Amino acid sequence: MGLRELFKTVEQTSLAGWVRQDNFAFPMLEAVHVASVMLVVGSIFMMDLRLLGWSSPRLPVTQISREALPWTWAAFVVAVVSGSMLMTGQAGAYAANAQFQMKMALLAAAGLNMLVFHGFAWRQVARWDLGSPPPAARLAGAASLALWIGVVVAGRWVGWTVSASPF
Amino acid sequence: MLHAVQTWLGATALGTVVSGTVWAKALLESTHILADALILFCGGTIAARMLARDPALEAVRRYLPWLWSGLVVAVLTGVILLTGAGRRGLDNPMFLIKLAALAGAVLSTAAIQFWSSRDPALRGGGRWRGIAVALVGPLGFLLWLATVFAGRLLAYSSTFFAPQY
Repeated sequence: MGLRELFKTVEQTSLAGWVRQDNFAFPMLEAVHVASVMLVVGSIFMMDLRLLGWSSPRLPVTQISREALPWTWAAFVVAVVSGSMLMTGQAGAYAANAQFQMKMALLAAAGLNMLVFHGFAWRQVARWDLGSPPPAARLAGAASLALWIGVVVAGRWVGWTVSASPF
Repeated sequence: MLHAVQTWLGATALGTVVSGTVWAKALLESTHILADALILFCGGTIAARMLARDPALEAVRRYLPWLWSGLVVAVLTGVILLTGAGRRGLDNPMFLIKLAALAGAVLSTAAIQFWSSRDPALRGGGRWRGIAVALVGPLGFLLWLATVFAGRLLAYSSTFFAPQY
């Protein structure tokens, strides 16, 4: 099954029909999606700001991480579920939308940045937990900040540009 | 008064740029969302710590300045965005809900700031004050969430209220 057929199949599900036809479904799902993305971004920002030394420089990085990560993951799950549900209504149109593709690419880059950070700099966190993070961690923080700002900007732009035309 | 502010802003050079340029509006909206992101996370973390009766003061001291800073940015960008909204913005019933939720959220957060400055442990006072201190954090967070929900639902107001404009 090609992507085109896959999106068409998704658009024909009862869930997609509900999202398209129910007056309250799309607005409420979108509000949930926006609020959960905000919580993801807000929690990640706090961690990034600590890595850059702009927030709570005397507080252990691991403590900020313990505070932020539960919010990040819980909100991320809600954002993915609500975002996927939103997409079902016009799956093909979203997939063909340049801003949506940009959002997904930035999201993937943010995930990759996090994986690299946890795979390298985070392994030696005990050495810099209370002090100034090493350049690699600062770089990861700066990249994360920029990438998530990009996700928000691209995401907002999707709402203005997505077209109902078929994929 | 808000109508007067909106009219005045709309006549300024900034208002002209915002109402006539898509990228300016997109930039402002994105900044508004990013500021709200800081507010929501800080409000949520403070609420969780106060509800758990954790040493809340440290979290309050650390996160409240970020929350207030986020609010300043959100209000500034929000007011400028109103210039492009025409009468639909201020006369939209959902906008009034957003303003009411925002007022409640700001009051709750101000109460947290006030109590934490007088009672650093946030544990003093009588039974009722203890209950109030425990509840004001979560209440504030719910009101911040309501502000965000109402803000997003502004675009769908006619679904919830009969259009009058």
